[in-house]
Amino acid sequence: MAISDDYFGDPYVDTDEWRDDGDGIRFRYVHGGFDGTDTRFSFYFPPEDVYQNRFISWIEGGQGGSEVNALTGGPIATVSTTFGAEVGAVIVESNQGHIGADLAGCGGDSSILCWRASAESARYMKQLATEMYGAAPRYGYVTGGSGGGVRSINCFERTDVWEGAVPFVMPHPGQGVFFSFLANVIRLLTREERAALAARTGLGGSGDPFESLNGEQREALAALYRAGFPRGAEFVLSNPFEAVLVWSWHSSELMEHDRSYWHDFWAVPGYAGADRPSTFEPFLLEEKSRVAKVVTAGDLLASATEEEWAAGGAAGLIGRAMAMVMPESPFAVVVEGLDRAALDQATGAKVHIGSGIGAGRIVVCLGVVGDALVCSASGEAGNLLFDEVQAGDEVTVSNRDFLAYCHYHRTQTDLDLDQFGEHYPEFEQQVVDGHAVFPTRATFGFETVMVSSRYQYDWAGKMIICQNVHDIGTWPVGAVNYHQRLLKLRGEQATDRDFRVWWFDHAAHTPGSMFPSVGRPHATTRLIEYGGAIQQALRDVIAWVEDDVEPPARSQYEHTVSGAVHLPHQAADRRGIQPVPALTINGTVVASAKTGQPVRLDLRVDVPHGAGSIIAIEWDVTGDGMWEPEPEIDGTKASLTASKQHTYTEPGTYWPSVRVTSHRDGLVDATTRRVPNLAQSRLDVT
Amino acid sequence: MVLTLEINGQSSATIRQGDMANFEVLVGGDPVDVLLVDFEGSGRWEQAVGPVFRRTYREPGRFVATVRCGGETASARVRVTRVSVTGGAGIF
Repeated sequence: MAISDDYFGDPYVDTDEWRDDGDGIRFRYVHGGFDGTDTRFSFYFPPEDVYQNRFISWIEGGQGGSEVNALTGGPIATVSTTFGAEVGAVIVESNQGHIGADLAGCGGDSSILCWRASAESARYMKQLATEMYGAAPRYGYVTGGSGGGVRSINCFERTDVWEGAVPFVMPHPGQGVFFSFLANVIRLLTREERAALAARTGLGGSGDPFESLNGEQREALAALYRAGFPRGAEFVLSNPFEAVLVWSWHSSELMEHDRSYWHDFWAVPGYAGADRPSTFEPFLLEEKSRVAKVVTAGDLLASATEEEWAAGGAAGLIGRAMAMVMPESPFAVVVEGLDRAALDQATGAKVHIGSGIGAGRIVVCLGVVGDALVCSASGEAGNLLFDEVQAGDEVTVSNRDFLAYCHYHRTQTDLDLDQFGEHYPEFEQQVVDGHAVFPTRATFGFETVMVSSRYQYDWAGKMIICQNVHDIGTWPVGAVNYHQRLLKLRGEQATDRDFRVWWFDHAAHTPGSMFPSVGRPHATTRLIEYGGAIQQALRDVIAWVEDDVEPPARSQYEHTVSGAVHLPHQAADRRGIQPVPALTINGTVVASAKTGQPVRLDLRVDVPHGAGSIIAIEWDVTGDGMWEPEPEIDGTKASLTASKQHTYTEPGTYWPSVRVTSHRDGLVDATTRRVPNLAQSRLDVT
Repeated sequence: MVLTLEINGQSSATIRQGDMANFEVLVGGDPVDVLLVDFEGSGRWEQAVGPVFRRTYREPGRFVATVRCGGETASARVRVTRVSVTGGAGIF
């Protein structure tokens, strides 16, 4: 019998045992599901003497599909069993109604994925908690990032299961279309051209992103900026994964949604493929060949160099992360006869198995690592990937549809209006005086995964959104949109009574440590690990809901008419909870020196009011990712200055960096709730 | 008297990694209460309480499940297909 929602059958439990997480944290692990559905869940109950009458639902990102995130622990690992024990919370997660990449379990009803499976799992957890502790948890909280950010909002807005929410790296309502803008830029700019773009927009660069680009590249990049692409995040384009990963999830659904677009793009005037076919010739890849080798994730982890991962785009970053989680998975394939020129165009291409047990399976190439095409997909093909595919099987590799997808955003003009009749400024560039610039197609809302396209902006409880400034996946404008609409609907005072948006500078969609990194500056000198900030936000929401303790003030920001989001330079003005460091070399941010000449690095860092104190300062004098701690940081000060002298003996360009970490309670040995930030300078040594 | 084993109502079934398979054992149409079962064909026999019992398959592969009762054996084939975690597991 269903707990509350008739879609779900009887709950069953197939694992119920006490476990130790390896760090001495004991918990009761319960795994099961609901009969007649694909919904599975995991619950992590702390011992009774640790339990504090609350639970936290962890909403996995992407498409969801796994119920063992807290168990396996990801690179972010925000809601681990350790954190659950620290806050005395039962951790709850579900596969959000479907198994792995196959969304069939949701029966075409996105509400299953977006909130109902998570809510029903939480309700059943309450039954078991009542048996275990004598009463159900009084308070519930929901959190998740990216796709999990959308769906944690969906859960919070559309049910009464939770009292507080911490969505992070949350998408804009038009997010799905942003990926098409992004894919086009990634297609048009080679890896070297993207590196040059990063150099122009980085320290010591001209500041002009368009310099030296051709007309087509300029148009694509300008459209990307106008849609809200984060300024200063151009360097993250060296390892983009978001656009191609999302294409791999949505390509089959998108092609079903609009069956003729993929033909019209190449045949009907008004579409780029038909208007200018010659400009696509250098990019087009259509090869029929045979499988030379199927490569498991573990094989690739063992054989690929850091340079190969770094050159792999989406495969290098997200593919490597996937590989670590599922090393046995046959997730890549080497195809006979693909030369380097072909491999360079393989990103986004469809890989269609033509014979053998896998015949008919279509997956999408995330990128190329060495000569292996690392792939992903939705549906059963996404679960199986190259399982039981053999060397010699026929295979076709074609990027024809991906090239059309790179222009799909042009067709989505209805997205300039929300459900209140308000314009999304990000899409106004596509409509002039009420007329669509390009041929319009039926709106695709990516709603299977993201009911986000229609946030309700209405809920009871407390919410803190954590948004990252250098996130090229879910852009800052996602949080701007949500905050601005709340302000319109509720007014400023009422909004601040229940809501915060906190910005995190030098933070991308994933932590800096996940980025393959070759040469200077190392990824960890530009991008932080932000999981500790999410943990602090959860602690703040808990105190806000249960004890009416107001968290630190919301971050201040400026949103420009051209789609940029800028933060104030001073901590007192910026607010939020992240420390704000400033680093200079001999008094300037971009400096030069001679070999053998001592150079002085000066740091000033301030923690916003009420956000704690500084517990660590680390220096990296070259930018190679080798960090050296500043001694005697005792966690008592919210503002600090520090200096370091270094003599460079070799000529070259260096990226002296400093990483500062704050903690609400000033605990220098804390393993959770650490909130870092970075500052970097450039030094040319001759 | 013929011992038969059905998995999800059939003599063979395809399920997904992590799915729970439902087994039913009959002797001449009558239920059997206690028997031994080897779920994966690995030679590891364990006691099952019949006639209906369940088992979650956590690894992909092709398996032959066998039950033994009163000197009789019966088998059913199960293919467990892979579930990949491209949706975001382990990352977010």
